[in-house]
Amino acid sequence: MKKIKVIAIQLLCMILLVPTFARAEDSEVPYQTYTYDRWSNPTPTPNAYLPTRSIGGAQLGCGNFNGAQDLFYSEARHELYVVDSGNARVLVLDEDFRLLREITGFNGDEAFVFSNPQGVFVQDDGRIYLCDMGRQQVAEADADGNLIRVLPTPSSPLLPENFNYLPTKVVVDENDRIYILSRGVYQGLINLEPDGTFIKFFGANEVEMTLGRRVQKLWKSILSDQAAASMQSFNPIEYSNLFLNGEGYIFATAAGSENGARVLTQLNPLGINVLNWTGGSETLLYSDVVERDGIIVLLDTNGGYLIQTTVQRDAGLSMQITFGGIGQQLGLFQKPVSLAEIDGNLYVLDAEKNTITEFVLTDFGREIHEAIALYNQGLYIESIVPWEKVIRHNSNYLPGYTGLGKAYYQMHDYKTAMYYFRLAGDRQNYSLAFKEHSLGVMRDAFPYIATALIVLVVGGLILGRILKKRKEVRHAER
Amino acid sequence: MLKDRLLQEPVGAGFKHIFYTMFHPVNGFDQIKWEKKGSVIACCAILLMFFLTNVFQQVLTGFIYNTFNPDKVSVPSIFLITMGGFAIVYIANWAAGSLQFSEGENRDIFITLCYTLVPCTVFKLVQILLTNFASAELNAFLVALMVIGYLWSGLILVIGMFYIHQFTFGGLLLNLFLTVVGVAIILFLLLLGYSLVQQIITFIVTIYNEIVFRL
Repeated sequence: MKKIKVIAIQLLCMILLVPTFARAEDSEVPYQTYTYDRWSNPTPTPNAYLPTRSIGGAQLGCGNFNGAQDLFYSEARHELYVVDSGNARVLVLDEDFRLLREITGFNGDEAFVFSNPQGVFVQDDGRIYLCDMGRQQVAEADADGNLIRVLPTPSSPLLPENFNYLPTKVVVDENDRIYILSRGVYQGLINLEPDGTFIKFFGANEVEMTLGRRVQKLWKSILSDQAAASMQSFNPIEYSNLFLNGEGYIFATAAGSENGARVLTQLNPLGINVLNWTGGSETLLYSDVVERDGIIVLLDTNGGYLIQTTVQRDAGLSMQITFGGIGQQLGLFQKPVSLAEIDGNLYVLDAEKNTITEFVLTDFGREIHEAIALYNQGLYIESIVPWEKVIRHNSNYLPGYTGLGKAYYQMHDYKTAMYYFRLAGDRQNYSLAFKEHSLGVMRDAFPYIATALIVLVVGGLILGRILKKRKEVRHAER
Repeated sequence: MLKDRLLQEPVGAGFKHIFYTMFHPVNGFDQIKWEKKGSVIACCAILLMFFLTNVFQQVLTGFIYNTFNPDKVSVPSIFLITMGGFAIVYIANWAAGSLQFSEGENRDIFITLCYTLVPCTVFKLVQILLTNFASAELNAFLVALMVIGYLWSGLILVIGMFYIHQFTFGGLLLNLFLTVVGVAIILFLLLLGYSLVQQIITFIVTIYNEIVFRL
């Protein structure tokens, strides 16, 4: 007996000594990827992205970056543009991070030498649009760097008298209409015709109404016009960065918001926000955004977070996967300013570390992307397999349960759908599945209910008649 | 003395009287006042049911309507809130009644306040039951149900207070107002006491730590 005990203890010790098998996805990452559960509590998840390398100017052989401000990836041309503001140059890299060329200015009759370039946009045919805040100009050049034109400073009665033109970011749609983000302009983006004439302010953000502002508004309505004019005016939140997605929507981020409202907008060609999102509970300063197939990745300067979210048609936007942080290690940032996405992998430009950090999708991340792409196309049944893979990786990933629930709903398996919607905490969809399910139950039970009713009614009538008869008989006997 | 009185109480008749008073409040409260009908033990059963209903609300409400985090459901705190809340209202009303030289007795006030809880408790129980069989679209009906319950409760409260204390209408309004003020004062005193006790405890703990560090 004693021997058995000793052996058992020995075995236990051996089991404890065996190293646990850690997955590569969980190791050697200086941050914890997390998601949110039903009650908005942060929940750890496996990593969806892994930092693989960081690329600086030294590796490219062109000298360190100095306060680089913008990263732009041209999908049509397979080129990555880095705006190295402090060194007044634009670096063009290929997808393997080899330096193709270095642009310090555009050639022309009157050379456009960069002074403080802040943002770049490249059309599919290779034309480069560059915002230079030092020269207070936006220039257009061809793919070889020959200056086509310098856009005139916008002039319009709509612009304020002391208007200071500080262009920082620019996007150009497929019809060559130009949208310029100028620092200090809260009225929206400056929208120019292809020939450079001012059209209008485009897609102004909303004024966020905090309690203090509401009180002030009340005072303004009471006070005289003169006194009200001397009070603080309410301006919309300024945008911080722009991103033009493949479908022609302009995503604009706003840095700094007191209650987290409207920090991300998706502007349609009319300049109206079509995104239904009120923001997270945390105060985040978004500095850039990329989007593909309905998967949005946001970059937060304040906490150095990358946040992957998805647009869901009925539920709006939900924060799903957050990772990153502030620090010196690979995968953390000092002052992340710009974000680019190549084939699902993410590239983050840090203005203080002066590096580009590469984040590669893990299996888990890739499965999420696959599932969401199918889900967003409405192919719920086809998305079952990828969703199940996602949930095998991480049973806390709630959107996966919603996806599975929708698939089973589409397959008219309402009971299973209810099970998954319940796991996802999705009351609205659960209610829909519940309605269908209870309708089915009622339909199945109807023959029995109807039979029981008929038996009761007929039986009651017959019984009533019999009782009446007996009463009459008794009366007659009396 | 009190024990004897409670033991002699016809509890069964007390339950019947609850039911009667819900539909005939004027007569019912008159009987409580002058014929000493109604039972304190039956009222304690109402209180227990009120507490349990509040627990059920957090635990048994159907998924579609349940917004409570099951990790955060705490039965002791529900008990404290419901029973403590009742006790505070009871004391405040009693005090307000005394200030106004009303004729309401201790026992009568207790019974009236318990009777007040009956409609809203019953309606809440029905609501909890229905949430398990209702889809999200029926929310309006469930809310309407609850509103009816609260209105009924309010009616019972007003009529009860009117007859128990033998008020004029103005007196009744003043009484309700004073009760609210009383509740506010009691809560304030409780908060004050709580923070005082907390400070004393912190003080003692600090002294203890200082002594321990210097030993």
